[in-house]
Formats: sequence, C-alpha cells, structure tokens
Amino acid sequence: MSVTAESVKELEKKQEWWWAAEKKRSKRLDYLRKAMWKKGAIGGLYPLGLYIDLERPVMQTEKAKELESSADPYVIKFAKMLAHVLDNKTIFITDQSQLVGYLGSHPHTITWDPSLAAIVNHEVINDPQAIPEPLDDNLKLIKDITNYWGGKSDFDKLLPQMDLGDVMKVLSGAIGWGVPLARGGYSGKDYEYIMTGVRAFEDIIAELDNRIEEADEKAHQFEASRDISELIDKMNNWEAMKITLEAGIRHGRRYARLARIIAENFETDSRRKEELVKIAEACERVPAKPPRTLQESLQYDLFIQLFSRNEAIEGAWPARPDFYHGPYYERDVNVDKTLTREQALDLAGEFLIRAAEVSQYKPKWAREGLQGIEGTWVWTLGGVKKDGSDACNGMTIALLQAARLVRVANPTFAFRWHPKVSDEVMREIFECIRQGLGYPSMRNDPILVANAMHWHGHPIEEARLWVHQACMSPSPATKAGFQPMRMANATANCAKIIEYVFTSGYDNSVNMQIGAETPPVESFASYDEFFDAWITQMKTIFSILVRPVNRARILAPKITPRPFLSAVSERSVESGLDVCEPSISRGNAWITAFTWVENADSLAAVKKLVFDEKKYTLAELKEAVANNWEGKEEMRLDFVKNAPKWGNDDDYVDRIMLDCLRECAKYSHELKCPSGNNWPILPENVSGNIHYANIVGALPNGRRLGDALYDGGISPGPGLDKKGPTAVLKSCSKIDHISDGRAFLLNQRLSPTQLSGEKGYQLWKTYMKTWGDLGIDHVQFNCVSDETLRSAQRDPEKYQEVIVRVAGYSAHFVDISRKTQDNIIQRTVQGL
Amino acid sequence: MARISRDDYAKASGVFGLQPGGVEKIEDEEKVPERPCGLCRHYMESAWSSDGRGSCKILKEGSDITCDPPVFVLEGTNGYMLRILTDASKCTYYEKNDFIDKDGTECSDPAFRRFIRQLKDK
Repeated sequence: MSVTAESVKELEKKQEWWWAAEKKRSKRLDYLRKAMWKKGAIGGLYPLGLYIDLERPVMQTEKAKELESSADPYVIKFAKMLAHVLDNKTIFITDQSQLVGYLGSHPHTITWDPSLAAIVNHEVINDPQAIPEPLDDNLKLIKDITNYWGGKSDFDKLLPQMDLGDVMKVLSGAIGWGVPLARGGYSGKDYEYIMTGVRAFEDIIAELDNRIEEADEKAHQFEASRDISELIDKMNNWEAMKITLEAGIRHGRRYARLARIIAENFETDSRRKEELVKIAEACERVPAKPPRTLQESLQYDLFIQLFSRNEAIEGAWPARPDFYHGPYYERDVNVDKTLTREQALDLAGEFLIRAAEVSQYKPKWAREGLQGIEGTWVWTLGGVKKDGSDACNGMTIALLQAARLVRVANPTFAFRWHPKVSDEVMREIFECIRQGLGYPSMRNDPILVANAMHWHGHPIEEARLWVHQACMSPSPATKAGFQPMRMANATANCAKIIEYVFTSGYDNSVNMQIGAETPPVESFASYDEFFDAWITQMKTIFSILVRPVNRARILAPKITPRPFLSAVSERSVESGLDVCEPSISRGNAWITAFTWVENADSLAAVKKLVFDEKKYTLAELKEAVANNWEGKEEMRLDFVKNAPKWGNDDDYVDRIMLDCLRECAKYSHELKCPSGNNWPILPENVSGNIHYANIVGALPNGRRLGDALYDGGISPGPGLDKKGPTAVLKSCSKIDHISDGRAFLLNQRLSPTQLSGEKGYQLWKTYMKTWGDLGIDHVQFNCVSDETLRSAQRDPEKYQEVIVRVAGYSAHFVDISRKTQDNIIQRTVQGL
Repeated sequence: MARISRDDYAKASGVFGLQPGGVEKIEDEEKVPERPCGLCRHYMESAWSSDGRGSCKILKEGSDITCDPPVFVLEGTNGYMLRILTDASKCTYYEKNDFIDKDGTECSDPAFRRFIRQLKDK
C-alpha cells in the first residue's frame, strides 16, 4: 500500500496514532508487528488462543529423570538439563525477520518451567483455557510432570528451609507478592562484562578452561586445606558455566543451519535469500564471538536474554540498548554506511517485537498485578557515560522512533534525563508521549546517581552505568554492582499497614493473624500512639517479606544455582562462585511499596477528624471500617472530602507522608541484605492497585473494600489532586528523592489536545524543567483522551492498538481488566 | 509468636500442594464433589495463586471436615486451610454461595472468585 502524506497527516490530526504508524512503518515491520502474538494476561487470564507450551517441560522432565542416577553435582546436572532444552527445542524463523530466537516452540505459546514451584504447576492444572488440545491427553501429561516435580522443584526445596510462619504469611497473598527464588524474579546482567564488544562466549570458555586447569593443579598440591575443598566446588561451578555457554553457541548455530536450509531449499525471493544468509552468518558469529555489526549486536543481546530465560522466569528485562548497541549503530549507519537509517530502524523495531513475544507462565498474582504484559520490560535510554558526559546517540533516537512505529506495550522505555540532553532527543521523547505510548517515563539522572551512591555505596563511575532493574529501581550493570536476582518477594501491599492498625494485625481477607498484635486501636489516646502502631505494623510486614529473600539469597548458590547467568558475570567467572552468592556482590535490594499513599491519606484523616477536631472516636471509626462503611455513608464522605489529601501541596498531609517515608528510611538502614547492604523502600504499583482491591478492606481515607486502590507510588488518588499539576509536583518535591527512599513513581495524565504542536512541546518542556529543578526522580505520562478510552471500552475491536500507562509499565488498553480501565480514566487530566 | 511445628506446616502445606502427596493424588484434582468448599459462601480463596488453596471464614485451624466424624473448631485465630475442591459434604456450616465469579478477566476477589477449570460448569 502506498503511503499518502495526506492520509497519514489526517490520521495524526485525529490522534489515531496507531493507524498512522501502520501506514508509516516499513512493510517488514508491518508484517512482523501483525505476526506478533500479545502475551499479557487480561485480568488474571491468558488471552484465548495462547497455549501452554508442553515441549519444554517434557524435555526438561525426561532429562531430569535420566540424570537422577548420575553422580554429577546438582549444578552440573542443572546445566545439562538447560543444555538439553537448547539443543533439542523446536526452532523456527519468522518470515521477514532479521533477528531470530524464541522462547517457545511456536509463536502462540507460553513456556512453562515445572522445576520452579509445585504451586505454579497446580495453577497450570487448574488453568481454564491455556491447556492445549487434546485436553485429556495433555492434562495427563501435565499431571505426570507435576507429580515428578512435586518436592523436587526449587520452591519445594527452599520453603522447608525458611521460617515456616513467614512462609504461611507470604503465601496467603495478602501482604505481598513474588517468590524468594533465584530463578523467579528479575535478573540484572553484568553488561560491562558481556556487552562491550570485548569478549563473547568463546573468550569466556577459554578463561573458564584456564581457571579450571589452575584450580585442578592447586587441588592436587600436598596441602589439604579448606581452600582445596572449596576449589572443587568452584571447578564444578565453572564446568556448569561452560556447559551452558557451549549450549548457547550450539543453539545459535542451529539457527544458522536452519537459515541456510531455508535459503538453499525453500526461499525463492532472491532478496530474502540474502537476508537468510545474513542471519546464518550472524548466528555463526554470535554468541560465540563478539558482534561486528548492529544486526549481530542485537542478535547477541537477544540470545543472552533468551538463554537467561531458559534458566529462569524473569519478570523484568534490565537493559540499556542505546548505550550498548549505539557504537554498532554509529559504525554501520554513519561511518561504514553499510546500513541506512531506515534499515537500522527496521532492526530496532524488530528487536522490540522479539522482546514483546517472550512469555513465561506465571502465578495469579503476577498475571493480575501485571495485566496486559508479560513482565516489566523497562529499557533504559539516555543517561550519562562513566565520565558523566551525555550518553545519547543515534540508537537512542532510532529506538524512540521505532517504538512509535511498532507500538508494542512492552518493552517500554525509561529515559535517564539530565540537563545536557539535546533538544533533538527531547523532541523524540515528547513525540512518544504525545502519541500516547505512555513511555518513556522520565528519570532524573543526577538524583538517581546520587541515590544509588547513598543507599548502596556504588562508586560514582558505577552508579552512572545504572539500568532499571525492573520498572523503577536503578542497578549498575557492573561487576560488583549488578543485581543477579531481584526477588519480588520483597513487594509489600502497604495499605495493609494502616488496615492492621485497626485489626491488630488480623487479616480478614485470608483469615490469618499476619501483622503484629498491636493494642486495640480504640485504646490509643493520642495520634503519636496511633502512629507508633503504624510503625510497628510497617516493620512487621516488611520484615516478614525481607527475611525469606535474605534466606533465599544465602541458600541460592547451593539449592537454586544460575550457571548461565554466572557464566556471563565477571565476578562469578573470576571467583568460581554462583552469581547469587552474596559475598561477591555489593547488594542492591529494595522493598517495592505498593498501595503506599493510602497510608498518608488515612493517617491524615485520623489525625484531623479524630484527634484534632474530635469529630469521631477511634472506636466509631474501627466499627465503620470493619463494616465496610455500611450505614455510614455520611461519615465515609467526611473522611473522603474533609480530610486533606496528598498531592495538593498541603503541608498537613505532606508532613505525614514525610514522617511515614522517614520512618521507613530509618528502618531501611537497620534491615540488611546478605551482602550487608540496605533495604530502602520504593513506592510504586504496577496493577497491584486492582489486584489488591478486594483484598484490602475499608480504610480511613474513605475507601471501601473493592474500590480500586490508588494507582501508585506517590501519585495522588484519582481525582483527589485538586490544585493542578504544580501542586502535585510541589508535594512530591518535599520528599528527598535521594535519602527518603529508593525511587518514587509519579503518574500524571496530560491532555493530548494541549500537547499539540510546538506550543505543546514548549509547555511540556517547561513542566519538565520544573520537575527537574524540584529534584523529583520520576514522572510518567498518560496522554490519551477520555473520549478515546470510553470508545475503546465500547468498541474494543476498533481500538486494539491504544496504549495506556498503567503504572510502571504500559499496556494495550483492551488487554487490561475493566476495573483497571476505569481506574485509568478516573485519573485527573492535568492542564499544563 | 510460637514457632510453627513441622507437623503443622506439613498439614497446612499439604493443603498447599507444596509437598509430594500434598494432594493425595494428582487425579484427585479432577474430582469435583457435589458440595465443594469452593462454592460455599464462607470460603476465601488464596490471594497468591490459583492453585486451589483457600481458607474457611467460620472454621478455625484444627478443624477437619474430611474425617469421620468431622472436627469443627470455632475458636482460634487462623482460619482452617483447605482447597476449593475439598469435599464439604460432612460440613454442617456449608452454605452455597449465591454468586461465584467465573470471569477470569477481572482480578482476584477471595470471597467470590473461583476461576479454576474444574468448576467451569458448576
């Protein structure tokens, strides 16, 4: 179809960005985009048409059974199991593609790893629509596999070694999320080791061979000391690392062979034949040897990510694609001129699509808390180099432009803003936001570099090399700085803190005593006593969630090793220790604080209406919330309307917010991770505000059981910010974004009409300057009109491509639950 | 707080399906009794996963409705842990819930949602 300038312009004028993108992108990108299956769950359900991939679990289980009688140490058996999957899984090459590699055996499959947790395997058995046909046969297969892994899976081995009381509370699902598993969270990468073009898999294998040889020699010396014994463990680890790298190289070469077979025997189009040969050459090169071109660099990166996901479920995708692929872009496009900008754009767009296709079966809390997406793939763009100079390059712009063309909801971008970012880059960012992608989110780089140094002691050169570990938290991609596994177990449903003050720690939604048994709330004679109980509940909940993570990190090297991730990490290759070993890492832990602002608003309401104005007693309030405000609507509205709310530059409630954060910050320095570092909090939400809506009871901010909680971080409650965007920023700026916590998510909704044209850009730029000057670390924007969203609710088929910013991620509007949709529509549209 | 004993944990985690044999046989996961706990108004589903766990709002820890005669403990703190498909035929507190949410596209509501394959037609 030929592009007519008028038709694209018309579509853009009507803000139908998705149709405009369809017309503007290349035929290749258009094909690949339409061939892509969206993988995010809607509410808690995987969409119709997606099926659980049974090929991998069968292979994995067969190999595990075969290895049972082997004398190999566990880490080597595990590495062999991973290698077996890579050597034998079905591979395919999508037509028109230039990058290859897929997690599942077919495009519409969700991979399932039965060796992670029996609890998840039972979810697979119960899944209402993702089990492939024939149902009876495949159910039997799933059950046989589940039976085999019962008691053997990572989680089954780990849980009995934890505090059982903590385990019961975590698995209730009331106070938090996640699993304390080295293979079930998000893995950072030591990109400074593996992605700078200095080395690739063969180089690392050579190093491992040297280290094994040296260690073997030492191990046969006359002395028999503890060191000798430890050398044997190290040699096992190195051997396992080698197995995974060799499997990775073979896997790449499988694609090379396939590409050549297709080119020689099946492809009739001469241009496509050439492309297939190029794919073969790329896959013969990487991951064995360092990449030479942009295509090889992206292919190499993709292989590393897929191999890491072959080893673990990864709920995030820490990456800095412009920083590490930028040099190849520069050489290919601007120096050697072997690629045109359009060709480079195609590669960038395809890279986004390949990432969007990744899917791994997740438990219910993950599907509901990350509605519409597979995980928080938040890629870091911009920022600075080690020396502090601007890191933006041609690849930064290519990725921003490609994102507008392919319009995937995931991955999204987060841009490390600093005062020296060029106007050209700012305009590209603005276009992404204005065209309704919901990303990039904006990060205040100077603040976050200082934050990383403050909380975790990262030296400034390393702090400057930070990437998003998930959607918000910085983590350097360096030898000692990177975080091998962020266990999302340390994710707190913070609204429970204030709820438990009223129930003395009893949770009515899961019928368990979870929090501290603080005195009955009606016994508190002052606000200070009330707040003390809040602090006790906060410490109780946080410690319940952190203890299992600490324990799991300590046990991980033995029970749940990561030989592949270790193989691509300098500190493990050097030391022979598993990458999760705390002693070789600086530590970068944090507690994600979901449903956070409800605390400040509720405390402010109690302080004002109970203690200052003495309008109600705590006993009355306790009864009202226990009964979900039934028969007390007037009282409830009093707590909604006549108590100050966060986000209005009101010192009364803003001061309370600071008190809460600073108590947490104080406690964060007491809580230590196994590396000896701190546990700061990070208020943000994903779609936890909807997932927890029926799990958190009525609260003193006027909320009822079942109401959506606030949308996250330090964002004011929907509709409760009444004084405009500057007041929101001013409230947020009272927080010290370096020392009061790890980072603070702020959602803002902007009017698409107001952002049009040059005037719109200048308005946004002014807003961003205010934001930057106020030292706020984060902001992200929704820029879609109510009219479009309501139309999408009525006719979802016509609005399949509308994207919204949910919280720390974006999703296609039609791929999230109705309640989440309504919650987004409710958010205040700020006039700039 | 008293440390949970391994026996108690095994019992509760048996309900969780975390230990081998935690569900007597995997095939038992297809047996939908006439009166499963999951359809009772007093049942609360786990907020963590859809593996079939939950607890009772009325019966407390120490109860056992599967033995003969059944044991009903009404006093105590924590709810009795059981599964959606636990047979409640001997439970005298069973009350069929008027509304069960089988729409998987909305999020967890422990009081109403029983979105598992086995209850699709119930």
